[in-house]
Amino acid sequence: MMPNKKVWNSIYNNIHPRRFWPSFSTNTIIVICFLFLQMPKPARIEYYQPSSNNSHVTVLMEKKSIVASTKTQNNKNISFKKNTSGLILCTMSVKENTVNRSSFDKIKITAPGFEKIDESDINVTTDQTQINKIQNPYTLEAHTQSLYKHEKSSNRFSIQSNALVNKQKQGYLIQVYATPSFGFLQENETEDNVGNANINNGGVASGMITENKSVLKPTLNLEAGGAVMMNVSRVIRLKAGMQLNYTKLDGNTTSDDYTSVSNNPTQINYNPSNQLFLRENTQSSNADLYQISVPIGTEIEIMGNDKFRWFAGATVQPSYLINAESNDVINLNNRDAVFGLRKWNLNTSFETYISYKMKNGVLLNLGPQFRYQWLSTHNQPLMSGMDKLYNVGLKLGVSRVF
Amino acid sequence: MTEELMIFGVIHKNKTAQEFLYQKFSPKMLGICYRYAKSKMDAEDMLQEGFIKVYQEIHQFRGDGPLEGWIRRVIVNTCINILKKTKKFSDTIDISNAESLHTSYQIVPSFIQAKQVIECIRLLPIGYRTVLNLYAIEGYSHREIGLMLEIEESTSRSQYSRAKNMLESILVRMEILPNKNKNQQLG
Repeated sequence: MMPNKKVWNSIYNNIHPRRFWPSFSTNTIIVICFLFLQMPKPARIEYYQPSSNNSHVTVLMEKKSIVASTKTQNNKNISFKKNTSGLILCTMSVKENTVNRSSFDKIKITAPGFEKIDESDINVTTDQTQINKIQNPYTLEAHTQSLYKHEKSSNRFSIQSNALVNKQKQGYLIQVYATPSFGFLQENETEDNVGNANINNGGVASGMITENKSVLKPTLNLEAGGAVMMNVSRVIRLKAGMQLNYTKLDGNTTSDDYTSVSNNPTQINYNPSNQLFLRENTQSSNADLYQISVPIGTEIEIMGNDKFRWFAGATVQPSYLINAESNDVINLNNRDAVFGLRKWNLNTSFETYISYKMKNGVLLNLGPQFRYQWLSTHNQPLMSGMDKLYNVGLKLGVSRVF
Repeated sequence: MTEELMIFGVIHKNKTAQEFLYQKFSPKMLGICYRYAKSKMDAEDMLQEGFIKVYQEIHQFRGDGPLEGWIRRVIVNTCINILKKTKKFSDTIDISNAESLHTSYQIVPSFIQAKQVIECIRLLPIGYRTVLNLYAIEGYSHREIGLMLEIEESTSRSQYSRAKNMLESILVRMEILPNKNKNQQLG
């Protein structure tokens, strides 16, 4: 009488509750991706521009990415540019004292991807009651004060709503990514173990030498996760996130024992090629590892323009092994290789990528990544010299400013 | 895979070893569960709980006897515990009556297939069936059965005695055994 297959599935789910975590992490990432792509349009951004006739002109814009530039009569420029972190950067080439109302008798507004902004996106009003609705207006000088030590002018030429200023201060970028990679185990030459020479009653000396050889196979691994990035300056970002690493182990170590016999212990030849082969011991490691890690690090913008930007970054990743499944239990020798896995570990990752900005504001990221595991995979490495993992992969990411 | 390695693997929660153990013993253990259950579905539930207990407690297996015997005990105990939750085993009968009950299990012909007998046992009430299984098939003593089912030893004896009689009558009714009274009348 054979039990239904569902019985085993139920038993397995019951005795392996840790399987919950890989699926939970995957689902969390999927939900974050979904929310990420379904986010509504950003809040309306409002600019206020004093006109030359001493009344206020209101310009309302509902585009997310804005390049607003004003051209002064004396060919001196002020431009506003929204960067990837959501902070409005102000570039002024005028002297502080020359900024006054009369300088701004004309305003020109452009946005990336639009040759001409729709008039429906611009609302010009001189209605003072509407202007007065603005609570706690901030001057341009106020919210760019940290970037440009511009003296606050009494001639306020631009103000913004309070909500926008807060948003700019808290601007951050969310990134989701996946990195298929080839995983390797660090291959070091292991030392041959030379045994002591023994002399028997007949005066014959014997010695043994063990030659260690590592056979490593590169495996296809995957890591996926999400991160929040925050600008700390124009070119430096801090980032933190959560990541799921899938690693496949596939390797073995062969230890060949050789023996040598001589009448004189000092003449024992420890060169394996000249010795008598005694036996071969093989230890294999074949398992699927699931790690969850918390990457924390920084990124630097090396160069770029409105569309393309080049970043380089590094993270440290405290990692925890949430599940390990062995596919290969053949003999007693590989017991510890399968079961003696280290729970906590530490990874370091280096990456560089190109970020391409699409029309809808979403950034596509693509670039190489290198990840190295600092501690051995096993608690007591049986396979000396092949126990630290490193991955070389291609990072594919999507990010968006919030 | 050797049994030693399989046990080592199960202790260390190795999936391959756990599945190997399940594949090796589950058909036989399902048969045991089936004797205590109403249906195959109930038997599978018992099997499931039993194997979970096996995986949880296997580190207590000391290797004194065969692994199958240890698993069998765990499975039987699980079945009993499940039955105890739903059924009472305290139906008693006076021990003197029990002794006087007619038993004639010696007349069961050898040609009766085990499968037929097991099917007939399944027709017994749950209390009778459990005691019969534990005593006649699993080999527990009435004292042990009493402790397992939390009933008096005498109750176990009487239940067993009544179970035998009822089983005999079932076998006669199903014409697996000859009707003794009818034979006497004919004679």
